[in-house]
Amino acid sequence: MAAEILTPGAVAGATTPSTWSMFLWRLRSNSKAMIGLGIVIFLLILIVFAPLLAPKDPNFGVLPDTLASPSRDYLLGADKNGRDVLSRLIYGTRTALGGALMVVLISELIGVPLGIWAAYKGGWVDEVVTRIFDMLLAFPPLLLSFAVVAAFGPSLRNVVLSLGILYVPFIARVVRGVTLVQKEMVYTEAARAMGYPQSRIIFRHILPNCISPVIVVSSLDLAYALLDIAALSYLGLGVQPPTPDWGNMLAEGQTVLLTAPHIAIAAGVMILIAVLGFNLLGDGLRDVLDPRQAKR
Amino acid sequence: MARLIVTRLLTLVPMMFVITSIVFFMVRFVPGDPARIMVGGQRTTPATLEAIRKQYNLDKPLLTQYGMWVEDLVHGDLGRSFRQRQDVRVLIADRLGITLQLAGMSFLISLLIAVPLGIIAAVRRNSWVDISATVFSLIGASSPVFFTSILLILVFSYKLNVMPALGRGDGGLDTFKHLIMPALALGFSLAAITTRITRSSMVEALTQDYIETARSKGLSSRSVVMKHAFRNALIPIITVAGLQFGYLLVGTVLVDYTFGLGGLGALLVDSVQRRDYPVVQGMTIFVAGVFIVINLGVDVLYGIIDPRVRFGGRG
Repeated sequence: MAAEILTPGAVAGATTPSTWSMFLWRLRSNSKAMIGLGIVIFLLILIVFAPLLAPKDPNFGVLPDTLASPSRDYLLGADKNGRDVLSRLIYGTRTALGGALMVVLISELIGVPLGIWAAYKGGWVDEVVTRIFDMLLAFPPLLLSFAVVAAFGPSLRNVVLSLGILYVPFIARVVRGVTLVQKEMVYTEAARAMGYPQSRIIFRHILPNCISPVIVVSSLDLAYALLDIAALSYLGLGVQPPTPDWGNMLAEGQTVLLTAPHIAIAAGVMILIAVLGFNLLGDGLRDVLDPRQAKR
Repeated sequence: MARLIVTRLLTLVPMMFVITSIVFFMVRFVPGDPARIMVGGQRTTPATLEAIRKQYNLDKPLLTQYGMWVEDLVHGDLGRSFRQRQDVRVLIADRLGITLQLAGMSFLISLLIAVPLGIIAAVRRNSWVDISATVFSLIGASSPVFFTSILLILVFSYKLNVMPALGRGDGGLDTFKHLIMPALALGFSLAAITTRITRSSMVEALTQDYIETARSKGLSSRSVVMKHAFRNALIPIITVAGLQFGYLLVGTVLVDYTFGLGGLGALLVDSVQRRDYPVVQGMTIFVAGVFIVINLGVDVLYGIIDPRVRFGGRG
């Protein structure tokens, strides 16, 4: 154990083969993580291979088939413009999950450096940054992104940018916490005493230790981002028709709920499965990567 | 206790400052004439634009504008919608009632589901109740509240025909009937998270030494669970219930829109869709204010439940 703490490579965790295979073994025995991972992989396949998997053109409507019920021709029926619901759902993965991935990526790109910086600087910088985070954490991101959309206009880009920034505190708070602990570790102090530049300490000691918690938080954030993006699209403030998106399909489906309930149900179930996938994966990864916290 | 309230109030002032700054400066950073943006970038008469400039002092330096705007806010002036030709204050007051009823009913439903379910799941760990509680909270946390709403409308209004689908009814009992499904949809969503927390904090409380002591004293298991374990599990439950207030706010907006209740949520969504910025700005400030009051209420509640907090034991 002592030797492990002293060699930087071992602390880097997932990079050494033994830790990696250990991680895989524990991941495989965690059913929550495996179900979640399965769903996530399935969704990623849909994003990448949408043109191959979609049976029809998602934006091409056949008017006589308007609101057709599910049949062999239309596996999940057709919408009010006679477009294939299944194809639109498959393409909708790109805006829904693609948007959510962008949100989390933006929040990581800003949040990770910001969290390290705040913890490293300490003093009033840390104080101010932490206070602002606490406030933003308490306030629902969706409400502030309403204001952004009102000012800048409804579009997926505006939604993704505003949510991305509003999600920063979720990541930065975790990174700051890890950095504060790592800063005081013996090996960090040793590296400092040996005169290594700060950048080396950050990249070799601090960042590798942030990887696991950031992965866990990101997975759970993806679930939230999916829900927020779907909500904004559902309200007509995000992805604009005719671009297929689960949120706006659900809204369209609601207007024809009495005659063609399959549209709303298909879109809603898709959102549910995707969010469930990331929630399960996040929960499972927390069990695997951070057993101490998982016990609670 | 008074000291607790004052210190909490002082820490909440900066939060108000940050939120007001965000909504204030954002619209002024959008390229173009802020007056025109405040009417949603639409064509309008020069007189209206002049009125907006006057109301928001747009001809003055930015910091002066901000100062004057905050001064108006402190006096309870939330701004004016130039599209609807009404004060934001009036618009909010007209719709607050139904939103409060919806929020209250949803919150009550969520507690009525979550607390008993969480307690039973913790007492009978790994039983079928426990497993169903876990599945319920996973699905509940993953299903968008507007999808749950649509499913309820589909089943109870369209298939079974026992509940009104849309609108707010004609007041009294009829309004109550119109609120049942919206409150159930939102209540389920909220209950998902509270169930999980109730279960885990009860599990933790039940493994403590004092529970062992209480049991060996020969107390009934009902008294052990309710008086000894539950009371100690309450702090995390209240924390989460308090934190959920933000979710409750968002939830009322979404549910309000889905069911066409015409409350604050409908007003907000409608204003964002039509880009009626003064209304969005005024409502965001209003919501932030309510938020602060609720947070304060939760803190005071801590002080009542846990004497350690009152006497400064907790930081």
